Amino acid sequence: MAKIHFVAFDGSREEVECSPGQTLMSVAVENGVAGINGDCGGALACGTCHVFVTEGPDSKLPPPSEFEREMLSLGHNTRNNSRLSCQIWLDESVDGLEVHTPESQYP
Amino acid sequence: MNQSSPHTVPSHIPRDLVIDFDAARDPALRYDVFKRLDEIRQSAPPIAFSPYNGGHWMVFGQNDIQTVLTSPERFTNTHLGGGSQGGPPMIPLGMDPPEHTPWRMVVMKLLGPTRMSQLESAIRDKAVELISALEGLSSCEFIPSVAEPMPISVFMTLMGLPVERAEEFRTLAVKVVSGVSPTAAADPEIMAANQAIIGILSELIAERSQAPRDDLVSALLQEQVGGEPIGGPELMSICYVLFLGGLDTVTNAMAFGMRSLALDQELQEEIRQDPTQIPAVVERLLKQNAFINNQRMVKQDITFNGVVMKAGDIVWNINWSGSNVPGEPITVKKHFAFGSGPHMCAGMHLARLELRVMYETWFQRIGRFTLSADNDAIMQGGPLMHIKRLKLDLQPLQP
Repeated sequence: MAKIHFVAFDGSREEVECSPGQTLMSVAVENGVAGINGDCGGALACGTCHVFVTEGPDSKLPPPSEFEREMLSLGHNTRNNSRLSCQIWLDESVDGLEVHTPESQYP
Repeated sequence: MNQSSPHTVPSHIPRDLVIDFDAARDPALRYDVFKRLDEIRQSAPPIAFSPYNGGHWMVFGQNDIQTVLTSPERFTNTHLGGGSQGGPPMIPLGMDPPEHTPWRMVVMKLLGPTRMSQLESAIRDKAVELISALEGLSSCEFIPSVAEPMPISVFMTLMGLPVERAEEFRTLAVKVVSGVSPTAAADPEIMAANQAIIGILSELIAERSQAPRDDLVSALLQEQVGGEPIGGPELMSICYVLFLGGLDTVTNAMAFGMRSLALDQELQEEIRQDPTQIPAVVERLLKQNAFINNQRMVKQDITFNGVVMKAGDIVWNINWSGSNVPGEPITVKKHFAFGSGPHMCAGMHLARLELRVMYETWFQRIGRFTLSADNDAIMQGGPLMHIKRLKLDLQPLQP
């Protein structure tokens, strides 16, 4: 079972366990993590699951797809490590992943 | 489904799931759509079948609605893909993923949050113009004063349509979206409205192809899908969806939201004390007044939560019910005012922006407000529920 560290905009931290096959967005929503909405349920249609991802040394997340990159380019406050958490499928290799959430998903 | 006898129930529908409720024309809906839907869901099975409007399922539960809206492999939108009532096929609304995805991206680019936030000062100017005119009055008709002119002028400018023809265009859009079911029998009035809309949009597309401007249609002409420019029929289909989606929805969101506020002096006072709460209030009012009932079509015969559904069955998600779970505090954010899944409202960023700016401008200029006495039917049921009149009594802002 992998552990994910969520860090809210105010610095408060939360550690959440995930099972393989879930998306980062669904783990966050199921655990009530602050700062992630996931309004469209993972359909790449709303951009409200935007997070900043810091990978551990052994983690190798697949890069974002063309459509994920396009959605991110439309949003606000994006950085180099911005991702849509609904597009990140979790497995054991993500153990220790640090995920910073924005203050709000809306401009 | 048998269109010729509208009130018969298909043989696969268990009789105990049938309810005697017309989700478009029930008389009590005209007085308070949400109160009536609340009454209905308390006595109905969580997934019920209404024999009216061609016959359709009604889904009331939050998890069930979320599943229907996010499972296009079971609940398709392709019934909108062929065009109905003489309208063009709907793109991207009438497609399922993965075909849908690149078309959706094109529309999202036009309506993305960063692009929309550039409109804020123009939107605020319009809000100030309209709401300043109400300062000092003891009452107002909110819909013609603010809820109609504000979003329509924003939409017309965004699309590149002439603002002076706004009322004519809105009437056409309302006629089409008020049609109760995409599979209903031909309606000459809706067909005529569709012909008129196609005429308006053809002219607009032809003009912008010749001489592009800074508007959505000109931007669409620059877009590509799968490496190819967007063809004429597809351009028409996208513009048609924008036209229907953009002309009346924010009007209803504003008017339903202001009605809730007029009935909630405590919330009004909280906003006056701390206007930075307005973005959260926008969400709360959208949730309380989720007025769209998203329809889907069952793709193949399935059993959904124990209920047998046949390919071609129409499903109405009662979004308000899924957004307002009994016993759950109003502060829980989850709602379906913009739907969910791949077809979640692409105009949501614009809608939120317009709503926030309207409430901010209102609370800067108008004091306490209440509903004026009005005992008439002011609402309408259907897939897109409407509020047609909202008269408010106004007090001046206390210094």
